[in-house]
Amino acid sequence: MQVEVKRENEYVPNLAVLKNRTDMTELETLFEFEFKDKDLQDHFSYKPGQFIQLSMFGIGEAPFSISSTPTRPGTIELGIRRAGDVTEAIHRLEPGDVVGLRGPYGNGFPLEKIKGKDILIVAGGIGLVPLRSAINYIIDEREDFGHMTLFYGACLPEERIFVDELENDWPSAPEVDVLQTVDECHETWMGNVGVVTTLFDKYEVDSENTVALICGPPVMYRFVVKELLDLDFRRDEIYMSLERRMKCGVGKCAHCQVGHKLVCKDGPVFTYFEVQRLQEAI
Amino acid sequence: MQNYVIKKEDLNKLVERALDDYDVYAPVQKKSIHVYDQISDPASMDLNYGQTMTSAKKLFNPPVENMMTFDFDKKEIKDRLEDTIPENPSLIVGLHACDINGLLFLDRVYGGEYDDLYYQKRREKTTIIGLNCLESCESGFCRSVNTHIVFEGYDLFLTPIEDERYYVNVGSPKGDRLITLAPDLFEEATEDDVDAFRKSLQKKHESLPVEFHLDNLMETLDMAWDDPIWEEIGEDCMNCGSCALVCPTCYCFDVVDEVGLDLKESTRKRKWDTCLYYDFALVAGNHNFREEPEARLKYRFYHKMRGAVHDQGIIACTGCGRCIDACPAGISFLDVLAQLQKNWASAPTIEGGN
Ligand SMILES: Cc1cc2nc3c(=O)[nH]c(=O)nc-3n(C[C@H](O)[C@H](O)[C@H](O)COP(=O)(O)OP(=O)(O)OC[C@H]3O[C@@H](n4cnc5c(N)ncnc54)[C@H](O)[C@@H]3O)c2cc1C
Ligand code: SF4
Ligand code: SF4
Ligand code: FES
Repeated sequence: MQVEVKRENEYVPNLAVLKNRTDMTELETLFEFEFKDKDLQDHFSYKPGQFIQLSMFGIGEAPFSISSTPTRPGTIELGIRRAGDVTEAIHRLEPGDVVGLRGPYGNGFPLEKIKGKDILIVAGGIGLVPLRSAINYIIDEREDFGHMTLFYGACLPEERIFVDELENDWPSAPEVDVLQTVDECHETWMGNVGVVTTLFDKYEVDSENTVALICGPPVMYRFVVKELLDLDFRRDEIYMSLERRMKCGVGKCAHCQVGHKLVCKDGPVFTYFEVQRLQEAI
Repeated sequence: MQNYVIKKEDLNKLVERALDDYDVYAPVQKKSIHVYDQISDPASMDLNYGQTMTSAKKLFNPPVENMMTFDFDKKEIKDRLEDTIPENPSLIVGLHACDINGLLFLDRVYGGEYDDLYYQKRREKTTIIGLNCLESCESGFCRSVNTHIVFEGYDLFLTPIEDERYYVNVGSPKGDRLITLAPDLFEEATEDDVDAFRKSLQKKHESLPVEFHLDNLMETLDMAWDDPIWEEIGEDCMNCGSCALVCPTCYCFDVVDEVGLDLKESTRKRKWDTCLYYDFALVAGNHNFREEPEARLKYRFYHKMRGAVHDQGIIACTGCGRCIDACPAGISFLDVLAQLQKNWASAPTIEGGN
């Protein structure tokens, strides 16, 4: 259930403490935060695919997809790549340090709507961050969904994130297939080599009763969507999460406008049907 | 509905009395231009103005404002909402219909699903005396975008009528309160006054031109994405952002944290931003969704005339003409729209309109 926690001033974040950090790659770390306020700890809920605004005091605020699942409440996990001022500062945090969080914002993946369907997930690189929330949600609510297949592509084996779940937890969950590929590799890599779309040759996807959730770098979308359309996926059953510069997260600053929609309020998850109608979207 | 009349000279007396309770803002002449400025003497206001150079948006959404402060030692956030809102209520005198429509647009942006209290609180504390334009200003095209009329968003609305008087429409309880502040200055409108009011409206309708049709603009813009005009004006545009800064409905903002000199606290500020600036749509990895100047200028048109309709139900242009006056490259918002309609006409265009 989505409980709304009303704040007086929407822009003022709530304080949260870093509980844990797990380095995943050279650039990406998983951070686990807990709200200071006990009430918020208990009542804060969100949908997979929604995002949060994180404040590093004195440096700035930036949007991050929530990578944990609401089915495992208590803390919020964010998988963050070092990219600039705010993210560098986040990477310097130690357990016990305090940040600000506000949200959740955005629409999230339409998990209610796709109940009972088979699900194909295509993730590229750090695009797995929001999708991990959906994957673990589906695993936790297993009987509500059909078969789940994950295609994951990264540039190099050591650039993969959530490796433990990719290798162990997810493949061993019921009704889940996981296929990975890397663009380039060393001798130690025994798996697939090639961009994520090459996995479509290796695994038979039945588009009947299947929806696709995709997230990755902008270049990935066009190629993946082409594969999906060739397999007869319906344009409104291909869901993609878009990324834009954001300042407010609540539809006021216009930074995230794409065509005639706002990524923060109308998205970040759009169907391919919608995306096609948005100028400059992909 | 009770309407009133007030003598033009008595409006100054009203303002004089209001100065005790309100911070009063009015159009003031500065060299060859007019701006909204705070006044302490009614004599300094000049209601006989065409258009102010900048809009009244700055009184509701200032160019820079403090949102909150972070105390690094105590690890506390202090909401600065209350101290960013002026202590006294404000009174704006002489706001034209286009600008009141601009505020009605901002009301939508800053309301809706999420409240923007910085704007809303200022808006609540402001009383507006609107002023009807009976003649067109130099660059404005309000009638083409239906903003020459306004039915809400003001507290009192003045229409000049014969014998140096104003006909007064009351738009809100705040307007009523102004009238009780000076009941001796207002007279109830008689039938003759209503007649005079009607004559003024007639004069207005005769003098304000229609320069293009709004009705097929959405279709036009949907077809015109690849029109060569974007490249043409894109070459002239310097991406200086002046058009957006003077615009009453451009609301984009940036948010920055500034650390105090004592390094003990930082302040989160929001500042006006514009989509014309290079880094507006820049994301990590240096990917810019609108890399070329042309793409950013085109986006301004599409956001205001197309995106806003999706988002807020109305276009984000009041036809005030300020962007036309402000543009150093001589780009006219009106001419571009009119030209696009000519190129993509699905409905008759206005003869002689350019
Ligand atoms: C909905 C959403 C979800 C997201 N989820 C995640 C997530 O789960 N994990 C994650 O890691 N990221 C995520 N992001 C991206 C994340 O928000 C950005 O990486 C972050 O905002 C970068 O902030 P920063 O301060 O670290 O970088 P900035 O300092 O803002 O800079 C980022 C990059 O932009 C360039 N840049 C910035 N300003 C300028 C300028 N003025 N001129 C030239 N170049 C400039 C720089 O090259 C820099 O590398 C998400 C974004 C969105 C919109
Ligand atoms: S004022 Fe003119 S030159 Fe400046 S950004 Fe706007 S259109 Fe371009
Ligand atoms: S776009 Fe130009 S004419 Fe329209 S409201 Fe803004 S400044 Fe006025
Ligand atoms: S982030 Fe401000 S409008 Fe979307």
